Amino acid sequence: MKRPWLLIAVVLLFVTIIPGVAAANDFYQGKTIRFIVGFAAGGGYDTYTRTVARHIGRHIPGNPATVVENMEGAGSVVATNHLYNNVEPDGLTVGIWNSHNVFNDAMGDKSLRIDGRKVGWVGAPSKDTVVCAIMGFAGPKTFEEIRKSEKPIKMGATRAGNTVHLPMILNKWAETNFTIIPGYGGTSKIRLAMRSREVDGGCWSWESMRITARAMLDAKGEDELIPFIIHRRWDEPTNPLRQPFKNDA
Amino acid sequence: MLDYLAAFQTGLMNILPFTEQGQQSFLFMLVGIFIGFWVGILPGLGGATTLALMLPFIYTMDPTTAFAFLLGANAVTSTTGDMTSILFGVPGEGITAATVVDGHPMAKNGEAGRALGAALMSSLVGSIFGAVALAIALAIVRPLVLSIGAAEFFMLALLGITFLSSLSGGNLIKGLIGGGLGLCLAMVGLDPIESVPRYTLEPILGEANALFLWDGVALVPVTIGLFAIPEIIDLAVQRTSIARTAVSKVGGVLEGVKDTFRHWKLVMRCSALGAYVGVLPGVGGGTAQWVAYAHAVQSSRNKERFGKGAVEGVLGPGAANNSTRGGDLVTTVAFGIPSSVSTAILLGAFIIQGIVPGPDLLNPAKHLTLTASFVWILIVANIVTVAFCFLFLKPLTKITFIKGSLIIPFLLLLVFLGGFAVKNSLGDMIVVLLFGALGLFMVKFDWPRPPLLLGLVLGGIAETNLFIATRIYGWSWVTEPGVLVIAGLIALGILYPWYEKWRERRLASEPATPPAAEPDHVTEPVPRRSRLARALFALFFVAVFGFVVYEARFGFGAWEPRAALFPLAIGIPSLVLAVLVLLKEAFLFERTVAADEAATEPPKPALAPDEVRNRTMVIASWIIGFFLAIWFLGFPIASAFATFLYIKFAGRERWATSVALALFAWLFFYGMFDYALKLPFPDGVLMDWLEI
Repeated sequence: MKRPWLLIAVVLLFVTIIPGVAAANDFYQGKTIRFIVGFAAGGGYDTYTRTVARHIGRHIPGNPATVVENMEGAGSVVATNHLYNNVEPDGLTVGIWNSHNVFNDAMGDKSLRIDGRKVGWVGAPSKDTVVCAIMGFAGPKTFEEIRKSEKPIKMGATRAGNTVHLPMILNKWAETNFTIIPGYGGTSKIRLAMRSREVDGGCWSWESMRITARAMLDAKGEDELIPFIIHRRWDEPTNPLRQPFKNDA
Repeated sequence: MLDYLAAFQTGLMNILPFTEQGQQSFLFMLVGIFIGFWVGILPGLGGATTLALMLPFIYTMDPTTAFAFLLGANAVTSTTGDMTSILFGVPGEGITAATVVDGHPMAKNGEAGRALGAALMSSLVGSIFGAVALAIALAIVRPLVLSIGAAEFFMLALLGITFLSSLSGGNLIKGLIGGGLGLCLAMVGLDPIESVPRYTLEPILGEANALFLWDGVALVPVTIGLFAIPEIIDLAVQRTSIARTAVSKVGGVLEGVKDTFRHWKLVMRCSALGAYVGVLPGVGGGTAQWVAYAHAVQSSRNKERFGKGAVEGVLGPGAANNSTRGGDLVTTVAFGIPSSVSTAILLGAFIIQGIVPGPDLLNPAKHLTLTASFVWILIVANIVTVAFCFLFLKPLTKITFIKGSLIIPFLLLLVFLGGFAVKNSLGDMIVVLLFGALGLFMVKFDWPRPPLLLGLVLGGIAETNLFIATRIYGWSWVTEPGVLVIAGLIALGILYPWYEKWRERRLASEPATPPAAEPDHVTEPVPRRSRLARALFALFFVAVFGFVVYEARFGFGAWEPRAALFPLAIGIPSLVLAVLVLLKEAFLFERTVAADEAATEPPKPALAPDEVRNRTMVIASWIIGFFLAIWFLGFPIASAFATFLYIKFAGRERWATSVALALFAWLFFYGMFDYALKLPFPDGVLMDWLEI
């Protein structure tokens, strides 16, 4: 695990044995590729799927048409299960869902009904850099202080994914003292809980946090949101919590 | 302070057509309003989906124009959605369902004009109230939002649940059971804490179909089923137009407008309620409308009128679902935290425009002018819409006098479209059917329907926040000051009606009249057949709650007891109550009827019971037939095919009329969705089988 924090958030996959290139010319001729997005219309996943779908037909031999459908539910678990169990593996359906579903399945999440080893991965239009962050009022200012904290540090979480697993892994691996509070409807609700001092921090993706929590990151003192464990690919933020692990160099 | 005022003045000028900037914004606001107008009227098009479709157009706009465009559309859907709810009994938007309960009976009584006038005027008042609340709240938003934690959230949900009693009409126990069923429905799907699948009926439906239930039961198909289907059946059975009686004077639009001011205290209170519910993150118009409706019932002296066409039942939700829009924006603007799906999409618009929600939007030196424009857009958009609607109210109310058989096919198509459009899934159309059947029996056997919906909207909020609060604070959250204040409100809400009754009784007994010389209630025997049917329906509830408790104990609860806590807490008391009702229905040989009702209204139904049953079976078959047609043929073809069959053979119209209306239905479905909006419907399964 050279880069343990580099996770690909979103994955396109064909449920198929991809036909040989020679046959592909005929294969996609006059056919339609369906993109099933596991999230609502108008969100991030939906937007880039529609971008990809608009153009990809021109780059596939046979120039297939494309349609985008949304199958919301349970953080894309519904779409994931649907794709794995209900869709014909004919090379004509692409699922777009949170790739954490594969990890979650491997970690024993009973809501997933897939075998992550058997799906064909196509690619990822965006990358996710996970980050954990803690509020100024919580006390600890460095990662060492976080690790030494006697008082449990409350980390807000949704029901699965980064927000749950990162603090869990840190507890196990870096001997932190995080209490995980799952049940928040999304990272926006966790942000609110941080501001109302209901929880001390949380873990999700830097790509999201740097925009949606900008005001909190720029705040000072007790209201400042201090991110830590962030991949060096990002040159911000420039705070001492940034590089907790020696092997991250 | 002056900075603020200046910002609000500039903000207003920026959206009115007197400056160059204003002209552009105003023009696009009109476009937005036009879109929002239709989105509200048509049940199949939701506000959030439309906003998502509108989003790509704002890349080239300046921020004020972009938000005039988006907010203009978003602000008016709840206003025009009310109109569909009143006229057809089909909620135009998910957040206008509560208007159906009293608004549609008003239309049936020939008072469509009055109901529409009341809905429009209260909507206008509500939206202005919400906009003003937004302006004020922006200044004091921090303590307002940050004082609400998980514990307070749970208590607020509990407060909402206590409203069940006032939504129950005369049947408190049946209301509580309905509320319990709603709360249990809210638990269907993956549980919000650890994704344990609950009540997904996997052994019955099979794994593939059970996946549909993993995402839970959506509010809109349940509402449509419960309210619209029984109305359509009634319309077909009675063979009349929607309006049963023509009322010329009282049915007037002006009367409805006057009603708004006659009950202005109620309208203001419901507006405040809506704005406050809107501010709470994650709770939107769906909840606000029901809480406002419950409040309208609770605060009325004459509760029996509700559900039969009480204008207060229109005014309350009409105001609340509009003022929510203003409240909704508060957390989005101030914290970048969307409190509903629509505002989540608006948040996307902020990011497209490169504006960081938060302090910048409240800073006079930065974007305060834009924020001020939001407030004005909400106000101006609704004034424009309401003024426009008033012009067309007369022809609209005429719809309620058209022969029912010509309207029914269109209503059915809209009902199924409304269910389908929630998640673009046929599964929700089945939900519509199932709850349609449930609604039909609930009406027949005097079970109040609104409590079920209140339970459904509040269940998830209550469970999640109870868990979070307990996880963070143990049980010490019970002593938090905010919690105590809300607990006090709950106690007040429960005790006040008792106190009022006690006071009335004391006042009544003061003149020392002998206890009611003439009894105001008489008893009449309950026929054996009706007793059996009532008991069977009660048995259905016993079975449902038995299943809820059994699953929580031995099903998913066996390997994840935490996920079973809330189901057991709701399921066991509901089961006990359901058994009570079962016994009561089975062994109740006599029932009491108000004396004046028994005297003045001779129990002479216009139709023989057998005829009613026959006609109900016929229309029920048509309803299922429409569903099958859509399933087999897909929406566009089915719309023409089924409409033609219905109008020709059930309505017995001439060929020309039938073909013309069928063509109209096809043009609407294909032209609007496939062609104009590029939202193609899935092909029918028949097409798949034949590989067309």
